[in-house]
Amino acid sequence: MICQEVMELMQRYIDGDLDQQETSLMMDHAGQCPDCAAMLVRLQKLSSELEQLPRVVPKFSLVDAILPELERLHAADSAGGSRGSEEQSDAMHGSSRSNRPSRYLYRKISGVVAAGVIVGLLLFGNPSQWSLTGGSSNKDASALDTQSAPAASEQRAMKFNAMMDSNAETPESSQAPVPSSKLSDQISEQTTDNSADKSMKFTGPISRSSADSQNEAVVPKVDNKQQVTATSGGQESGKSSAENPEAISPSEPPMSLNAIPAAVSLSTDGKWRAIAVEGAGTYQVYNTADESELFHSEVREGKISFLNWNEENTILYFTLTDADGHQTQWQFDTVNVKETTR
Amino acid sequence: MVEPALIKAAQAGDREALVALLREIEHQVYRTAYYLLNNEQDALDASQDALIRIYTKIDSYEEKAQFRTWVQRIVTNICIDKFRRKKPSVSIDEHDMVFQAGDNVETEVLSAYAAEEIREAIGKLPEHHRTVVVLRYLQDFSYNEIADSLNLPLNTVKSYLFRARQQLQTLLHDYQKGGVRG
Repeated sequence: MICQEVMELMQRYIDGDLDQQETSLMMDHAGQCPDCAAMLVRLQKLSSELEQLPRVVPKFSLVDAILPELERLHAADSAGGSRGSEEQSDAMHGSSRSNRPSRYLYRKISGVVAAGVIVGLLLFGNPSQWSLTGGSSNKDASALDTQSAPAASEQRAMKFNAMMDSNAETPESSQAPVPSSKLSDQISEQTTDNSADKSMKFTGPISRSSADSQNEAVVPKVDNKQQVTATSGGQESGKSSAENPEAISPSEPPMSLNAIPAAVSLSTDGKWRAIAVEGAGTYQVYNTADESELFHSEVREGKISFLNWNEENTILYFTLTDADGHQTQWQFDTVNVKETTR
Repeated sequence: MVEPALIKAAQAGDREALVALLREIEHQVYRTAYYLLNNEQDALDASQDALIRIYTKIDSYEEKAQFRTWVQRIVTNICIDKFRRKKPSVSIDEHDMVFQAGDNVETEVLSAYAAEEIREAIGKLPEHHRTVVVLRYLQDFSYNEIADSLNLPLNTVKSYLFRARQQLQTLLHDYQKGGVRG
């Protein structure tokens, strides 16, 4: 019996989920393995401390606080039927969030600009890829379409679940250069956020450009709207299309945002998958068993490359190259879920 | 536990019953919001939003689900929405920059973690790991109840919970090695 299997037994033991036979299996092992015995003690202690976390209560009655609002909803309900009351409640939520839209707006704009620059760089640096990825982009686009359907508040509320599902359905392939599920999630989040947030006035171009990306090349679109900030992307895409008229025809845009290549590294035991989107300066580590995300690194200035795993498949090594070409070596430890420089 | 009769009355349009029902669940709603958002004001806002949503959506509750898992689904969705807006990425290692590591294995096992440290550590978990831990320990939900609330497969719930505990254990372990507690 290996320690990894015992770990699962110990976890289930803590939740009272083991039968007698499993319990004695676990105890037998812990009797001979000091590491597992210590881990069991720590887990038990942690669990009992979690159980004892204070049952906090609000400092005032929440229901009393919302009574006037409920009163209004009730009045609207009597007047206009239940549909009306739902709409009113959504509108109310919208306005209560309106006090801090600008930060989100900047974030969204910078996201679109960044995407434009990335696509531009990729078009310039790697034009042969488009013909390869073009085929899959249609499929990705249709997935995107269903996800970014108009956002009622219920749908937004269920987004968590929807994202879970789409993560779980991501096909496993160590070669696929397209982290489509993740990217389209990000885009649909932008789109749904924009349409849901009624208080935001200047989101038109952004939500249009992410919607348009389903059928059209992103770069020219972004370039039109963000002439000042996205010029590098625009120029480079123009240049590369001049050099490669066959690869990129103006009437048939070659790719959607979803086809951005990324470095993917699967651990040799198949347990972990690390993905670094080129140009984005961030990487993610997924557990391939259930497609859960173990780690999502913070965004850094620079490019992450040379992802590879150590022999035990516990540590992911990667290289961060900054704008000046200066390289630093990093590692990410899956056991402690921690990244450090080497 | 909320009486089924009260839920039925509320669904039938008895407004007083609906308000009484909200009073019964406001503490459990707040508790989840507080531990998910790690901030009192955000928790107050989110739990009020959740109660209003429950008020307007009570008709959509179907008896085949447990009422409390339905309630927790609403509040966790609101919180997840909220902290996605607020904090786009989660950093697990920020405390490493502050504390120097040192070895003190004996005190480590003996001393109990303060609730505050545990709460902070929970706040460092990725969002679905955090949600699973909160439902397990602050709502005393079973694997199945968590799966129902979050609409996740049972195995996924287990793997999130196990990984979350492993991460918490590591985070708190590191805290102690750093000697921040005596």
